[in-house]
Amino acid sequence: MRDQVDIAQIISWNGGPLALPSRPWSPVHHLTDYGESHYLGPIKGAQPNSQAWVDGFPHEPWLQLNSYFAFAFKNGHYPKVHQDKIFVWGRPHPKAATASHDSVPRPNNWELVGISYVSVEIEMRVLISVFLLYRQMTSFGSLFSPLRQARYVYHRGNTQSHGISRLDCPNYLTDWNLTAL
Amino acid sequence: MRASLYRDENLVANVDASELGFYFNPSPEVYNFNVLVAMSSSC
Repeated sequence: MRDQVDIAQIISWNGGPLALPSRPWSPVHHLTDYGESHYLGPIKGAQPNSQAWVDGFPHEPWLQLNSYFAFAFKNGHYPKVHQDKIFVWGRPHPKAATASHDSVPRPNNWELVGISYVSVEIEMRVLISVFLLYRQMTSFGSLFSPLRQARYVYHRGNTQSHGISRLDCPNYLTDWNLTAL
Repeated sequence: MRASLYRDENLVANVDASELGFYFNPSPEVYNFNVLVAMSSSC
């Protein structure tokens, strides 16, 4: 069965203040299911004939992102970020696209993509999410060097379809979702 | 799908998912509701 990847976990990580008490362990509720595009580690091992939509779609960067939040859950505060990093993820086609040569129809509940999982993108047709971890600057006596500009550009073929910039980034991280029609 | 992060006009992080083979196709031949995830490299 083809299904959307459950990114609710990723998005919700950044959904509010860290309220959980510190604890020596942090569970990651995750079941590797290539058939439903649920996986975090490297793609290897037997697949349930899911190669068509799994191969070439790595998720390993989420492991690094996960370690950032795992630290926070364990220690009650976010770790210091030593290097700016950008995490991006996106789907290869609009959710409402009609495939021209697929004998298998859209998965059940395909229309929920972007509604129940990412509340800020009700009209989203394809999800592109950009997540930044940015380091705190302590040199020159300043607390940090604010982000003057952060932008990402989405290309559809040779056409730029979206760009955005934002100046405020609380908690040393920020995420955006945008609509690409 | 590309993203760049600048500090004071200095490029500090950049990621280009096309280097991993990502291609957004508005008219796909087959459905794929998976996502490709990419992370920036150091600049």
